Amino acid sequence: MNNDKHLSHPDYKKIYVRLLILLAISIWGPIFALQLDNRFLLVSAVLLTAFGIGAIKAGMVAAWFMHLDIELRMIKRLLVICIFFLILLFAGVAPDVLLPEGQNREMDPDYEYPKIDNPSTPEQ
Amino acid sequence: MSDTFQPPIATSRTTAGLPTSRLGTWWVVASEIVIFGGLIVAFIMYRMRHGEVWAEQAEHTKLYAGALNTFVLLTSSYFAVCAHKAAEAGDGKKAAKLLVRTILLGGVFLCVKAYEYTSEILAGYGPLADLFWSFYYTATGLHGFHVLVGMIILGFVAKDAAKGKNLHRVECIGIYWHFVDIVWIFLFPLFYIASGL
Repeated sequence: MNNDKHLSHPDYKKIYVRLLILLAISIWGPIFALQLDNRFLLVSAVLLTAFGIGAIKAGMVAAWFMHLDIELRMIKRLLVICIFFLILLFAGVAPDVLLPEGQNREMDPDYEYPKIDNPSTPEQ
Repeated sequence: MSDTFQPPIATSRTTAGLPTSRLGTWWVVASEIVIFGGLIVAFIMYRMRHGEVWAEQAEHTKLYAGALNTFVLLTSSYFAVCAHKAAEAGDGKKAAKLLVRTILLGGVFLCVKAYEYTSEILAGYGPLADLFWSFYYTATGLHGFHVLVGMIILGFVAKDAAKGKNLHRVECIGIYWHFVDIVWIFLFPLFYIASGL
């Protein structure tokens, strides 16, 4: 983006309306999807409507509201590097969290999800 | 020594090809990506690990409140980008007015969040209820803190903009505010929508 020149601003109202339409789809999509009997279809529909559309909304805000579409390549690279490290974090840690056993460890088969008593829970 | 005013080098040099203030803002955003991204990545891992148990917990979050807050933040982002447009046209007063609307919507967001926290804690889902709720309060609390900080900075920028001063700052705070909006766009489906999975 050139420092000295003014931006040619897109129609922000149009972008805003599109964002609201996408928001409506991301709310109602999973609600309708929950009525599906097929587990695979249900998960796919929820992931697509909730997270897929969320990613599109985030991309629209970044591109047009933050003007990333016309920002310097250096800035885009900076952000991509950050996202790369997040993927690296996931790839490095996920096996320890998700796999039942590893080279030097084995998960306890009797493991139960820890439930901490909450003192703020009202007496029934 | 000359009496001619010289602007500070740090605010005027453009060796990177963009104003230092905007470059600094992008660095802040980059560091925030790692902070929020780390939290989100950790949440996704544990969500996959404790699928059914966390799905039950996620059913207790209030979808309508989360949806309302998404709408509020998207609208505030729209006003922030319109303020940037007005600032570039040299209309400081209009920019300030739009920034004040952004601040007010930030306040609405925090009020809705406070209502949610209160009702969830009263129902027994406090930060120590279990790991899901610890993640929920850490991520949304940190995000709420960023909204609060953004509102304060927006206030200072709006005050200057009303006098026609430092209009370039409107774009910088706008970039930060839009980033805060993007973070919420990801937190919303994670905590509110995907409860049925």
